[in-house]
Amino acid sequence: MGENRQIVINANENGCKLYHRELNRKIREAIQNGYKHIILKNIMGQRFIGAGIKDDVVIEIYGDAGLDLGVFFGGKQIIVHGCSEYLLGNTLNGGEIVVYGDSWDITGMGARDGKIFVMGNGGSRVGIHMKEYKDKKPVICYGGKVKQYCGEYMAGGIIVILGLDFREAIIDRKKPLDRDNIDPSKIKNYDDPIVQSDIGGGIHGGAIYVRGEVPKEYLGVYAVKEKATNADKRILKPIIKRFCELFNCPEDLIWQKEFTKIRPISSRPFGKHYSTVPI
Amino acid sequence: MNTYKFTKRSNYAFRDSGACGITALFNLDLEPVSGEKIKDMICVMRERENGQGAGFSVYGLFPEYQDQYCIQLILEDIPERPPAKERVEDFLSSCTDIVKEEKVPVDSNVFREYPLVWRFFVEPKCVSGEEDDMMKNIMMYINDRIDGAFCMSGGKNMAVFKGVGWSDEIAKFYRIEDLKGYMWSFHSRFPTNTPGWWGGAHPFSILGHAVIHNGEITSYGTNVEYLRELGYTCTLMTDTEPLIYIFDYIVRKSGYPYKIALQTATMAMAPPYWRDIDRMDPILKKWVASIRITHRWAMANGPFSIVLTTNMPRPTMIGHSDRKKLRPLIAALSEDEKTFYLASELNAIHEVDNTSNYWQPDPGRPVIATEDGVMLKGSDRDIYKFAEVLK
Repeated sequence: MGENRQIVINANENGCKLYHRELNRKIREAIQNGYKHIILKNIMGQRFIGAGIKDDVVIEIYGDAGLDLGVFFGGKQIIVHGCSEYLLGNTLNGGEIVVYGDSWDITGMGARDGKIFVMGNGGSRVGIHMKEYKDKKPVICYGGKVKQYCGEYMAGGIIVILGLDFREAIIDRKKPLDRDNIDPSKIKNYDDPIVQSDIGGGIHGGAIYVRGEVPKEYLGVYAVKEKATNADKRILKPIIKRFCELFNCPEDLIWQKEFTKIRPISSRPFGKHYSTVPI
Repeated sequence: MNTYKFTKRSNYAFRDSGACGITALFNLDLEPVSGEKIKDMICVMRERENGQGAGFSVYGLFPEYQDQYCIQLILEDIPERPPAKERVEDFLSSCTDIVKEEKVPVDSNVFREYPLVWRFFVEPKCVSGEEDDMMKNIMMYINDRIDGAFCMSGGKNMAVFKGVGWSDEIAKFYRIEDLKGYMWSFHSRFPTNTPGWWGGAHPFSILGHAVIHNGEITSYGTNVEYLRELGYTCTLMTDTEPLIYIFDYIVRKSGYPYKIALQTATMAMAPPYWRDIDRMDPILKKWVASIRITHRWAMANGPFSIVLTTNMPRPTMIGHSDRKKLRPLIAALSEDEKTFYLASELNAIHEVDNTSNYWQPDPGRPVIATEDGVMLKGSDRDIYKFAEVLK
């Protein structure tokens, strides 16, 4: 006992959807009772799951999580066997969030630390206002494609967009999506470009790594692109390794294509707009 | 003291932060579906409403009266005036032939107070070819001039049901389980800028079109001025109303061929940026630029995601969003490719159909489904399909 104490919470008792306040109350109660592994079954879009939890726990979700999953989360891990809606990892403080599905707009808004791994596609404004401080560097890694304004106003951390198509690699759609349900030989590449316009609009820190080519007209205000160097690859390596572990993806497949790095044009791109001293 | 309880705006201002919920389903084979399904979809998104309004539109509701226009009204009596129903009936019989009239069945146990809901099946008395225009004017006249009456819809083989309440209350009030239609849209309201009142709930409808909307249109003033020139009066003081008139004007009145009319209307509401137009190939550039210039006042600014439903001339469902995608919209197709869904959140779709064929449309690009299937999936590259049609 002790380490791996598990509890299963059913979020849909008697066909009645549990309200998010009630659900979060049950989760906190379980943590107080010493459970380290909390399994949530039949989740139907409940919001704010795992809000503000800082204890060393794993929350596993079966179903589609709602908005603001893992808001202010600083625990160990959240795993979603399904999709997550908007605002995944809003102001994330630490830990790891893994989504075996899609997660759309505003993922990792204002994240301060922690890691977000998503198997599928993203929406607009992924990683908006992400920041870093000393050793606290948030990471967002998307397996699929993302839409407009990726990394908008980004001030730190790393976003990785891989452009892998997992849709045909799922072995059994009826079963919950997890590592064993992915056939690595059937993972394909999406055609370039895997991002949309205004990537890194207003970026002033951190870096966005896009697997493949990024058209010049897609760059946002004060963002520049360059080929990823060996130093960049060293940064990417642990992230890719973890992604492949989670989603049963061969590492060689990912390194087949070159990465493009998107970074701010200078260390103070907006200095001249706000500073009275000419720079 | 305001004597109008249902058909005029109240002074009660409700302010809170939140968001509306939208759901829609469309059986592409035009087979009737019970209202239970759409009710389940909307009720799962309880956070997306606050009991200040809900409503739904149904298509294919009156198979026996397919050729008559159905005027569906909410009515309330005003002291010292003849009953509102009589005044509406007098007006309607002066300009139309009333084929049938009936009380809309409602559940009297849901609300403490509720208005009379009545429908007329009418045939306008006018030269052929001008029926639609006349019916549009009749609808606008009732909403503008007849006190105590509010016309919810006036299309053929469709009707709109709405009111103030939670979505499950409205569904129960109008006995949604007894209704059958091939296309449904359901909206739950979280009013932020205008108070909740019976007429102000969504869907907004004119003729066979109906719209449900999540977001706010900040270009309301510009759109209203533009529509006034074109003969549409906006009287409901809500930002969603102009959208349906813009759609009606461009699709029905502007004279674009049907093939491009739907895309023109959606493009007029959320046109591509000039910087993107500059990069298009010449023929597309010419068209897109002229749509943007011709309908420049039809542009809907501000965050929105909408579902447009119409049966004029063919049953069509459109999901559309603003160019920066500030409101959510998820589209899905059932595994057997027979039912098309749109919803604010994926869990609303998964509540009724555990399909894996779902996607998020690109910002500012419409998803268009007709009985032939999903015509456009809302991808950035759809614009090249538009170019092919133009050639």
